[in-house]
Amino acid sequence: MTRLRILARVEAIKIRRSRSFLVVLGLFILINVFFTLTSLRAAANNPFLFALPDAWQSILEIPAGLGPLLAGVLTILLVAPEFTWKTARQSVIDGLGKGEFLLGKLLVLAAILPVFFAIPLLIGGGGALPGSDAGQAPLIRSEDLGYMFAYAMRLVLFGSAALFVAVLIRASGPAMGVFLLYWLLETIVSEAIQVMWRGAEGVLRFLPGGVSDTLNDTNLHYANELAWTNASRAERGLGPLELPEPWMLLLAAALYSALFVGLSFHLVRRRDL
Amino acid sequence: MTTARTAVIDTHGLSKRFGGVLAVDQVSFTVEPGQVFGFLGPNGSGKTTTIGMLMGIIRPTAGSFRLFGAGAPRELLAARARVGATLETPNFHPHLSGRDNLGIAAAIKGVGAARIEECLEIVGLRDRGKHRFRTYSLGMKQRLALAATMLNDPELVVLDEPANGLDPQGMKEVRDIIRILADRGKTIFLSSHLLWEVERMCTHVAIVRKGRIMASGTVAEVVASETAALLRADDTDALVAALEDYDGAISVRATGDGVLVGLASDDLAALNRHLAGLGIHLSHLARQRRSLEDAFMELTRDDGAESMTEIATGVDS
Repeated sequence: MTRLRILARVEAIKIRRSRSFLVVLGLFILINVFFTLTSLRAAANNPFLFALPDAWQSILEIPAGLGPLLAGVLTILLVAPEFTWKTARQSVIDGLGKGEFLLGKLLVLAAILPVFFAIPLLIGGGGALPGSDAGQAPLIRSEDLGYMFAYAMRLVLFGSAALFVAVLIRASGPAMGVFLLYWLLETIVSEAIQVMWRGAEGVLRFLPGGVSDTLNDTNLHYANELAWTNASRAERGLGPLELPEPWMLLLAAALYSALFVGLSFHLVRRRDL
Repeated sequence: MTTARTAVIDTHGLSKRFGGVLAVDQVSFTVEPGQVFGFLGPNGSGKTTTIGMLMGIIRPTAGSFRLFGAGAPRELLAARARVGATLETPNFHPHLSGRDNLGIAAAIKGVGAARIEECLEIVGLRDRGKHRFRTYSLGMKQRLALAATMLNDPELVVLDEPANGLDPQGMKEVRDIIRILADRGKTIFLSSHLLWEVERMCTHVAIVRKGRIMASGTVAEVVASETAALLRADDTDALVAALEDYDGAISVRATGDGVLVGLASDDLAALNRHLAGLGIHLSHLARQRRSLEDAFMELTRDDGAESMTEIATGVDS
């Protein structure tokens, strides 16, 4: 417990004055404020267009959709420079175990991910609250909670993937390039495979990017949305959308996260600093 | 009855291979409490890698070592709490102030804020403590690194090229701080390629070349391990050629003052007879007191002209 407190103190000193932390977090806040103001403006004549609980769907899909990516970028910016500045090695020289150094970075994740989780809920939810009629319906439905949980898991997935890439590449610029390129490449390759083999979709959904995209798909969480999508597909002569059970995707996200964290520990312990 | 003191550092056959390059090759040495131990070698000779292994940031390929008698990984972590070390360039967060950077090291080492101020005071950075590390001059960065090593009042201070890139004033300041630490009874392990720095400050020295220890012992022992003589003759080229053919010559070097020869024995008469037999009559033959530089040059002579220039001038590439 004392060691954890020491690690928390060390990381707090680093983050407190980190410009990267302020810039990325500020950007995410701006995106959410912009989205909320735009939504409120669009709903100026009809407040019910941006009111809880229906507003959660758009809040979680659009501004929160960017949250995991920005959280990943911030993770890389907070972890990778420790290798280029050689402060990771100095921490070990000063008395931290290599595993403890990485544990400190997990504490960073544990600190920033809840912030990324809270921002869209507070800004978007706060903005939509005045137009809501709490007497008519609950402000948060079970499907909204499911969507929020999926958002939290996506944050964990991207955060742990970014941690792994930062530890693997050990330089923030290239690590960020690899991190962003991976999600893009996975999408392109998945699309290409699906053109050749339609049945592959079910498998490709379980790649890291596929898991994240599907968890962010409103069809997975809202029955009315799925019904509308299926009706639209039927008009185009397509069968109903086949989606895995949410728990399967959440489990996959948790397993990937555990794998990325485990690999990060393995790399840090095995490699010379 | 005497009590055997535990060596502060004790290495046995320590080796490190990076791919096809053997950076450290079977290095064995012992540092006893209170010694100021100079680890001397040209750039790229394996000094930093050796220290990295001792500090737990580089995994040895072979061999073993003990710090304060501790050899097992968990014991070593505890033993390192008795060490203050800095490797190569000072490693700090550029966006943080000197004080905040020391705060990180202090938290890890379990020391309080008051000690941070003390150490800043010792290295003369108290007034600049609030400024960002990136705004510091190289000398200030080195001094901050020294402050960080002193935070936990360590029994062993490990300094890797502490005078690197410093101007003469900065070098003097660093040397003064090291002297203060030595006077307080700290064991100091000083890696350097600056011969005069090691000769002036160290009680013991190990000379390393291409990852191997070439000589070690007290500075006097290493300097006196061979006999050296300065010779002059009318034909210097012929003298050098004759000395290079002489079985008892370990090294031959033409200097502005004559030819300096390192000898396996101190039988200068035999050398004189050998040269006279070749028709070379000496105008000068005198035993020389070798400097550490002479010993170093002889022990590391195959390392190439570039390293030699760096060593002789103290300029880091």
